[in-house]
Amino acid sequence: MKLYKKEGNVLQIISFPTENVEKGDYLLVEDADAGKALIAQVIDVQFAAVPGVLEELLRTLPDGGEPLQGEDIDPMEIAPHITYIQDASLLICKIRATLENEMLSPSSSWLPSRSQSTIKKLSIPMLMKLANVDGKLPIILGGTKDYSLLTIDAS
Amino acid sequence: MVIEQYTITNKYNFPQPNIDTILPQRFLEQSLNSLKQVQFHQPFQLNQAVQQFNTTEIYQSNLQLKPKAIPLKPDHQETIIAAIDTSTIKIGETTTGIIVAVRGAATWRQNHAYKYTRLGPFIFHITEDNKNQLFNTLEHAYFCTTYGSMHQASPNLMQMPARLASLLERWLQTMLAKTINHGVLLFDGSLTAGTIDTPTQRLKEILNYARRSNTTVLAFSKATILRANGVLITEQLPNRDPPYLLETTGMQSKPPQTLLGDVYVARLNKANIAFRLDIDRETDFTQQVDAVQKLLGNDLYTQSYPETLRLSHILCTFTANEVLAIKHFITRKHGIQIINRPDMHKLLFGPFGHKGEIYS
Repeated sequence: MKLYKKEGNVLQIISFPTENVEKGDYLLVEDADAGKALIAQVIDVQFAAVPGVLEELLRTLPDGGEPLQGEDIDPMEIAPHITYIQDASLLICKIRATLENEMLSPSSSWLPSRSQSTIKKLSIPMLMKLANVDGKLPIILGGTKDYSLLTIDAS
Repeated sequence: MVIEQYTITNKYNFPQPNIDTILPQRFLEQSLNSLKQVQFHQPFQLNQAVQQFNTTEIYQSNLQLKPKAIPLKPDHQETIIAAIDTSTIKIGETTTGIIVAVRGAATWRQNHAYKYTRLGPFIFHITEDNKNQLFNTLEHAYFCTTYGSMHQASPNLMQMPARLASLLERWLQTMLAKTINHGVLLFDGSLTAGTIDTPTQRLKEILNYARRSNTTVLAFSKATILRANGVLITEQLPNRDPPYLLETTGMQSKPPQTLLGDVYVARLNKANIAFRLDIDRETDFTQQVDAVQKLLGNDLYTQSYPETLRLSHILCTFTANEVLAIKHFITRKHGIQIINRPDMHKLLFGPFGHKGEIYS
């Protein structure tokens, strides 16, 4: 994943097909040099505006709407790279917090490095741990989509 | 050199699959070999303007256009219409050379359906050091038996992409000329030989193969510089309904160039657009006109241009998405790091700093 844009408290992140990110997932955008990280939640998944995609789609349907029949001899196996780029998605994410010195704050006023930041998925248990909601009196609210329990702390 | 992980299929889906694969196999080997010569983490410059290559030709001529048009009537007798085109694009530069991609497409219309075989892309890292070896290996891979003694001038670095594409194009043309019987074969460009990309003997041989298979070669030029009485020949259209051909006389080529086709102006439908059309001059006039009429009866037209040829062009042209994918491929597979050098045109001239784009 690569950081593309930040507008207000919304991040746009480019994601590739193998990364399997869905709406609702939490991401950790970590800038090691700044010693900070943003926690953002995916609120929409869109197609990335890859140049040339329209031409690519159009040329597969030139025969009266019927797919053109043919054979592609691609000895260098470039085709998987083409679909990899073509299927890239744009993740629209809302910044939920900044993580600094293992403390969460609601700030989204700093800009992480576009070239140096690393982005990874944040599991719900890890998020709960960061938010200090893994207390001694957990109340189970239900399950999350990565099969962990969602709890709140009653202590 | 043995390439174990990559192989070319033995048979292509051409109309009649009886194809040898020596040239594509050499293309692949030379491609991989050239990419291995890029030093690890060698800086690689993004190309600033997508450039596709073309060649021009110059004639000495007393060219005249016969005023009487040759009327055409579509001949619907089932005939295979096939077309070939190739494309090349510069992907970027390294400190020692250029990285280019080459691809070819053969398209044909049979039983009212279009089919295609697309070959490539082949990616080459061309340097001053490897260009001669690379070109000669490819040249000899397919054409050595006939042209072994005929050494062409060494292409310079910037000519290499067009020369590689031309080699692939001539190979595809040869394959279709050998395999299609009683058909019509469409080439992109003219039938002018003796140019750096088209040795006379090679084009003659392709036309011979086609003639032996009772196939007629028609070459359409998208643009021409030919003028009669100072006016472009494609802009002197008579006031009559298409389809028709206009015959030219007095064409002379500048040696060593040779014209292997009779030159016509073809207006194939009501779109007010005409093209220069070269037809193999070794075929008699009746067969030449018959071939165009078979083309009319068996292909579709967009802006007076055969759909088969248009599809070949579309299929082999590189899209921006593919260029990105090729960059991704060379970075991942060959460890070439991409850097963005400043574009001097944009740096100096701002919004006026566009370099021209040329498409083949």
